[in-house]
Amino acid sequence: MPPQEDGDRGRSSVDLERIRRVLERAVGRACPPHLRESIEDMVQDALVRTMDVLGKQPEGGIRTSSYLWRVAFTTMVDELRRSRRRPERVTGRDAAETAAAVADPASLETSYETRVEIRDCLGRLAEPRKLVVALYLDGFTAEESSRLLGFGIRKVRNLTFRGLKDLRRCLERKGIRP
Amino acid sequence: MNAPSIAGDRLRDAFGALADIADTSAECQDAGRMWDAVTGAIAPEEARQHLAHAATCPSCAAVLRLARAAAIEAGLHVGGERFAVPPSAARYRSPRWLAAAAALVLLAAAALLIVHRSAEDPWSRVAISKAPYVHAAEDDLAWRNAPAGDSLSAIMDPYVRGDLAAAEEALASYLKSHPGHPAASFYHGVCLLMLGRPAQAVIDLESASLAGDLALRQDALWYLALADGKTGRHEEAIRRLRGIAAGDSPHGEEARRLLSRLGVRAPGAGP
Repeated sequence: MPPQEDGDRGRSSVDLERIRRVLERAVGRACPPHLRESIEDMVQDALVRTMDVLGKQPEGGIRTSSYLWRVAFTTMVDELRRSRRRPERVTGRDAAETAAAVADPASLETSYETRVEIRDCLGRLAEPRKLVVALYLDGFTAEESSRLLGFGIRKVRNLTFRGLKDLRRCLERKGIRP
Repeated sequence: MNAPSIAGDRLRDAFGALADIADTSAECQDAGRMWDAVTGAIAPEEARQHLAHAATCPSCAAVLRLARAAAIEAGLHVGGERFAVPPSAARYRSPRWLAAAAALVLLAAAALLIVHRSAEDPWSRVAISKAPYVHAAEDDLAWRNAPAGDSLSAIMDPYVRGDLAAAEEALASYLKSHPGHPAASFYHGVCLLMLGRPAQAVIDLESASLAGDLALRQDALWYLALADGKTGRHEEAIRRLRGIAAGDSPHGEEARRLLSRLGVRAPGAGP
């Protein structure tokens, strides 16, 4: 049986099924654990967004997997932000500290206030140091930061070293010993 | 007073934990632009603006971490194909005459390169060899919807013989009843690519590059890079090739050779 065509776009149902599978893979692999229950909804939402783009742009626009991953990613972020706005969510401080205590009782040492102070100290660093230290703390490697920021690798390492030193000094002034 | 202590890696954990309790504010960045920043789709100057916001916004920092994790899962090169400025360039000042001479040499080299490249598209000379038929057995087992006896191996004779037109036809028919079958998508994409239909090959190869086992995905990414190059998406192709060359793909050496032929520096290559 020939594949069904979806109206004036002429895209076969087989192609749509393949796009759906790419989106399923993308959402399934990158989805944070606490959003796993919403995977089907997110895939459907991503598929609708892709179809919406199909209606506006030439077909070539959606043929790259990186584009489909981008759609899957933005859909996940929207769901992440929606989940944070839901009223049933436990309030910020309680949620963080309860989760931390369950995972690792020792983590209570890094209290809510401590985390806020780290962000505050980071915000006080000079711009280039702030950028590389934030990326370092977010888990980016020096090579990745170098490419992202367009800085040389040696510059990134120097800025990270000096920025962390500044950060520790700032935290010590606040009574936190890193 | 005993100061609270957060040693070593726990600084990272404490930094990340704040994102769990943060809400999105009006100043928060569009998630799509954050993805573009992480995958190198926008210039470093613009990326720095988004990253500066994420440095002090826990909610956007969470989005940034998610973008990095997703980009790695997608097989993309975090930060894109941009490469670092040699550190010596920033640190030392050369005499002016030397800088002027270097600029002249660069201009001449660039002009020669433009003339050379305009004469012929280097991708037109890139030969594509057929992928050996090795993926089916494992994939048939993994393919849950395949009825017993309805295996991919049963239709692969034309492919093994090298009759690509017949193989393409058989695989297209197989994919209608088994949409998204990873190995079938891969070999269908390879057939289309070798038959000179790279634009049609792309979606099958993309589907395969995100499915199946690691070996199949690595093979699919290599052929996808070739398909991108053949369809004129040279930047995308080079980005993929750099990712392949930098990783542990069995096609790493081929990718480095191809990058060298294209006049592009491979990751980790000398100056």
